[in-house]
Amino acid sequence: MNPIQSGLTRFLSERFADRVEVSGITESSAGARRLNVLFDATLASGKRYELCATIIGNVNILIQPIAREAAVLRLAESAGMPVAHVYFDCEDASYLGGPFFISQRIAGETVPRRVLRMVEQVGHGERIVAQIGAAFAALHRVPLQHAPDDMTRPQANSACQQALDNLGLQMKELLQPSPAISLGYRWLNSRMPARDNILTVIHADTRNGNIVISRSGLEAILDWEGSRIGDPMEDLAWPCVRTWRFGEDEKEFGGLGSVETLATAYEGAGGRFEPEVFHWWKVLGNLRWAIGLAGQAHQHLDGRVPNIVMAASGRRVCELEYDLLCLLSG
Amino acid sequence: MQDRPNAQELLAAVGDFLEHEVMPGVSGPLQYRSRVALNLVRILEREAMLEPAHLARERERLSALVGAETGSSMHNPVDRRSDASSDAQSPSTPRADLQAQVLELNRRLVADIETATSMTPEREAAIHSALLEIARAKLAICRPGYANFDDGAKRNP
Repeated sequence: MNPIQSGLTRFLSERFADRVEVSGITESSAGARRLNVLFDATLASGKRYELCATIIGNVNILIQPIAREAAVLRLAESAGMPVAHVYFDCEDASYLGGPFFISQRIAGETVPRRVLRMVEQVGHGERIVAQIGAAFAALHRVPLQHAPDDMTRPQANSACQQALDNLGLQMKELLQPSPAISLGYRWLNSRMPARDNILTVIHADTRNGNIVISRSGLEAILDWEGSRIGDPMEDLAWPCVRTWRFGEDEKEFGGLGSVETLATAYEGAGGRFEPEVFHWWKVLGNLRWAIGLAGQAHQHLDGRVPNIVMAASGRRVCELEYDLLCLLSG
Repeated sequence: MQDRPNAQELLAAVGDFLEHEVMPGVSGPLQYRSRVALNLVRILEREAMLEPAHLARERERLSALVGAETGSSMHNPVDRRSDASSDAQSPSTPRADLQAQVLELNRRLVADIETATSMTPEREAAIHSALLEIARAKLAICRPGYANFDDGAKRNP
């Protein structure tokens, strides 16, 4: 029995207060930060669960505590969002080598290009975008007082200012000067949304790659590690950055469908779509990802994460500079 | 002088090896990384051909924006005390000189964009137009075809 199987067996036997058999383990590392282990758990009583353990191997790169991520997942589920039901969360590293939570296993496709291939076959891209729009509206109407007390929230309650300040700091770390990025920053700074701050719980990374899709549509929204208090338009805009379309450039939302579909479904489910604020956040998303890619190259060059994919990211910065400049036109 | 194959020809050989011999025999993460490696080799092949002209043009456009004397005819438009050439292979080659100059011009333009208290629409448009051309040139090396799509076109037809 490998350490993961024995750790899972021990943990689940304690929690279910029953003898549990763990079988059919497959590791699917969705991201570099976390290990996802898919498995079946069969209780002595005969009851069987299809489960997924999300394990944080390195707590130094933990964005938020696992207990808080699990709490947000439960909050999202109770708000009616399609998410994996969380059974247990645990900070004790003695079971699996790091903090983890155990959730329902959702069947479907998550790899972006395979998602887009399925969508092309089935023809349900716009329907999926509408489902995501409705899911966003459900999340964004959760009363803030129901969010975990310690959830990350913007300083001075301005999500826009906070995001801009963070980018300003990251720009100082760039390996080389980028006038396009500086121009984008200046554009954002001079066109801050004039309306009052609107703060809600946001997922913050609902891009193609963090959604589970089946032939019948949206199954779940994954990867809540970046969830926080923020501006609802940020949630809608980030998946529209061109990178997440994986070549389906005309379909602005994740290569799946249109922003019109997204906005209509969002409003239909009680949200308020603000085109100007959405556009501001889309520009910000482009800028953020330009800096993110440059940061990956930096991590390769200084030896923190030396690998060829991170190195190649440096030569993708110009994609984001170009998209950014296109968005600033007019 | 090195014997043939020259750098360009060696890059093509490495690229063909990755594409036709390595890629078909590997799968999963290794296949993905091999494809990334192949892509980087192809970038270097295009860079060897296109970069000298791109650098000269970038110097011309940036010089016009940051008020360095004149365009491409000037020999040494920038203050050379900068550490700009630190990542070039050999600071004494003309290409490394050009890289150092362009880097310094980029630095000056960034400082200008960040510190200007106000900017006329004309100046903003001039900067935007130059940067767009430069970004397109970078893409011609790093991702040919990418600039055929304009993500702002729908919003600003």
